[in-house]
Amino acid sequence: MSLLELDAVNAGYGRTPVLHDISMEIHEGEIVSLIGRNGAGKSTLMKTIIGLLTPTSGELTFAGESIGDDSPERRARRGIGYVPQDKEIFPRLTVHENLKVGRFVNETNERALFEEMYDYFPILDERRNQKAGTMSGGEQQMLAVARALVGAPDLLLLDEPSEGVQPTIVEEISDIVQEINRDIGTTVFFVEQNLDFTINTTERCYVIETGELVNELPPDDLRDSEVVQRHITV
Amino acid sequence: MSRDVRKRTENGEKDSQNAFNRRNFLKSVTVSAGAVSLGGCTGQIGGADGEGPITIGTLYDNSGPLGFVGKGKDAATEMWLEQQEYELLGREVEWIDYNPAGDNTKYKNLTRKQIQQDDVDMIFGALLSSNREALRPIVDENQQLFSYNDWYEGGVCDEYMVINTTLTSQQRPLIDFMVENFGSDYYALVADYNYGRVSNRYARHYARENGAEPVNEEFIPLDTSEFGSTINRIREEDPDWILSLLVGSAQYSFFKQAESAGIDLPYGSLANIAGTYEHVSFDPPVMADTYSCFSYFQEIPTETNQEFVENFQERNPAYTKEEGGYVFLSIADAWNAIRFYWNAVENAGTVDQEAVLAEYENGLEMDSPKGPVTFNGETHHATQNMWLAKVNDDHSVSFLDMDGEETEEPIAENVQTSEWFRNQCNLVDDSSWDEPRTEYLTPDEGDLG
Amino acid sequence: MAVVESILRFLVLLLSFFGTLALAGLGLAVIFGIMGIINFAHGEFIMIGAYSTSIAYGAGIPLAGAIVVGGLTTGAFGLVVERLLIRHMYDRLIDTLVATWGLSLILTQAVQIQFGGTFGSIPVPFGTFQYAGFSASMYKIVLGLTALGLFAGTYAVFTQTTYGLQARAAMQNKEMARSLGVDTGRTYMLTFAFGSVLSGIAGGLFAPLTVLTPTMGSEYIVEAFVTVIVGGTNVLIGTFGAALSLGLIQTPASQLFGTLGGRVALLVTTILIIRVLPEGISGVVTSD
Repeated sequence: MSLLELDAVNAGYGRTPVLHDISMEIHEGEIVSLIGRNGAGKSTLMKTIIGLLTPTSGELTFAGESIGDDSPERRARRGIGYVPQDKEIFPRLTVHENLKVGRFVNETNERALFEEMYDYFPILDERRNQKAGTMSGGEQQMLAVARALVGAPDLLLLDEPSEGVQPTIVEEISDIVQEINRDIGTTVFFVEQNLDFTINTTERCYVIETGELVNELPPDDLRDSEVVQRHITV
Repeated sequence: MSRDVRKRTENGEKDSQNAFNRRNFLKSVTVSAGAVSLGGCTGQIGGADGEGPITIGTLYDNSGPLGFVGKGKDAATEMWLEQQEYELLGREVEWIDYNPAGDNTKYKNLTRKQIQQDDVDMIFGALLSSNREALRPIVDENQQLFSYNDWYEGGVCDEYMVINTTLTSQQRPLIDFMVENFGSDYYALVADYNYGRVSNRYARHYARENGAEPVNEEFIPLDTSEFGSTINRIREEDPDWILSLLVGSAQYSFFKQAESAGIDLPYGSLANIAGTYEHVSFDPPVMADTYSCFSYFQEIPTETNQEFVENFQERNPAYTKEEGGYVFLSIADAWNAIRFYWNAVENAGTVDQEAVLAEYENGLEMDSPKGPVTFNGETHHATQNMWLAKVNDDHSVSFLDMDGEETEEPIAENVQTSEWFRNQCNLVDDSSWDEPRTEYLTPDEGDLG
Repeated sequence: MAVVESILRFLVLLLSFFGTLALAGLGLAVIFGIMGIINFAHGEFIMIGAYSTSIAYGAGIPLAGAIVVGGLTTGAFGLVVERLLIRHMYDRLIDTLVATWGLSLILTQAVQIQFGGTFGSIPVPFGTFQYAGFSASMYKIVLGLTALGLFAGTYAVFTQTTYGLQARAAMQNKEMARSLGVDTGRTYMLTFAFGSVLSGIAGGLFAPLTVLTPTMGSEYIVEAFVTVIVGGTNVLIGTFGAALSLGLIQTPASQLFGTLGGRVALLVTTILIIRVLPEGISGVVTSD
């Protein structure tokens, strides 16, 4: 069953169109990625899905309901967790407070998954009462992921989770994303340039070029690094 | 023309403040009809002798920080005009009432408008010296007779200005009384602007003539409402009494804060009670033991005054004690101002301004709520009695003589302007309608001796 | 003991300057810090608090209760202002400046028309504090302590409530907070109301010490703005640090040079601080 559906979505910044007629579908329980060169419109698509950008035309459907007119906070409360490209943790809140801000994502959740998150990310447990701004880039990335997940969203949006993060942590995040997908059933949609991360994590992959979806790679093609490489080399 | 059409405001309409009683309602109905016909006659006949109404203008703030003062003055003006049925020399009187709202630019513009557009025969107005000084050049340039009647530091020597209020120099009995009865060390609290500083100069001079000296003079910005450090300093200096030249609602906070800090000193005030009735606004005993000397207090125990107060409060209940109001000095001064003018015009038999001024300079005399007042032709200021009021523990007021005994008499009679000013300003000898003196004199430190 | 007396005198004066600065500034700081809006009608909010406290007191409610009424009335008023005016101007600093300045004029005149020049006064409670040759108004001591209490209360609101957490998140990163389900419109509405409550309580606390007039807000506006400018955007630490350090300057300055000297020292210090620390005390404590 499809969880998120985009139908002929156009969007951009001000009068500059970036996305052209994007149509795609993500099913419940999937891990789907989006690859493309710098400036192809990957982050723009993410922002359009969470609602920070308003599409100029087209339909967005989430869990069977149209969300195109919803504010970002409304979409979050419907069950979309968002991890932006620059992490954007709240630097002067503690780690735990950052997580607490995230607990209203998916307002139908029965309880917030604080302890689960601390189990997945033990380093955050150690730093519970530390100001988030004082942590390293990798730790901040984990916090951003945990913050988006603590409310048990149905869909997790990850915008370049590997950027600016050490390889070991990239691997850790990749593993945890798959674990969470398996354990909690969270559907994952992410944007990546990091090949390893994409290949390890994803089941299906869309390719975006200058604002248009040009291809959809099935799992088999994904194993062929040549094909993938072609689409994301700058 | 309808006889009800007597008062105009900036908008050509009766102002709304009293619009709720029926009489004013009827008046306002007739205004729009009347305004049309008025347009035909003002400007053509106006000021000069002849047909058509006599026009008098008032420029008293009806809004802004001093709005309550101007409203009181307008109420006094209205009471007089209604008693006279808007008639003088058998002619109709039209009252042109503008609200300068405490804004000196408006003061200038409205003065110009009254002189040039409304062609008034007389203007009454200005509350602060700064208002008056803003409009005075326009008055002088246009040779317009003008009554200034709100208490001030003194010093205007101007052919076209007639003034009938309390001057700081006339309050000298207060300083004499305080030194005599409480001692020679006083602490001066002075509002830091022209009125405060000049008045303090007079006070210090009179104190020194009595062998007294300020232990400290503190000049306080007008918007100050926090007096902790002042109270500490007063305690350190340990004076015999406090001279108050505190002005404005912010500074009146001093009295409450001093009371609660346990300061128990007598206040000798040149600036409180008569004009701003702190003894009514504050609950006792905040103002207890305040001594204040002015030409008028609501409590003056003469029959003339009690009748005036009753009449005024009956017409304007906002000025009763029950409503937290008080018939203050500015009201009595506006009342005397318009009555002086009435007498001058009646004596002259015309509203020709030069002829009317000649009558002022002949020395008008009348009885008033303050007691007998005389207009001094040389100085263009009023000579009047001064009363020394003491605020009691329950905030009632008693009048005292120089020995501190209760009395029903003023503490000084027929008080003129200061000797210094009389030497400087003789508008009968040194000035004429066409070759006028138009000055504003301020005494320097040594001048008063 | 003359020394003890001098110390007491200094401390009480410091407490009262600190209290005045902190109370005058706190509501303005909350609204500025969280929403980035400068409320030019802040003085009039204090005035509304003072008037409603006085009305409640006149109706027989004890002073403490009357001050609470004053705070809540001002808060309700702030809520209305936010819904009708402010929310249409988020992120438009100049527009809100002009709009709230206009509001301050309207409020002053409306109160002038409705209540006239002066208004019922409240006697100063608690009497006099006495020690040897030293005496001070007990109420001023209470005022300073109450200011400390309000800081504690504000701290609790911002750290212990969901609203407080969301307000801090929205202040640090509005878009991210929205993306996590925080209704920042509602958060701002509550912030404006909360800031208004604080201003109203300040007005109620000032009421016994001052004369109630429609223009009384202007007596506190310098203290309020100076405190917020020196404090910077950190609502609690900035404002507290500003009130304390400015109080430490103003106290000796006004002892030595009088009220005027204290005022001048206050303004000079402010100018120096913003020269050296453009972001105020917040710039020092929140370098991250």
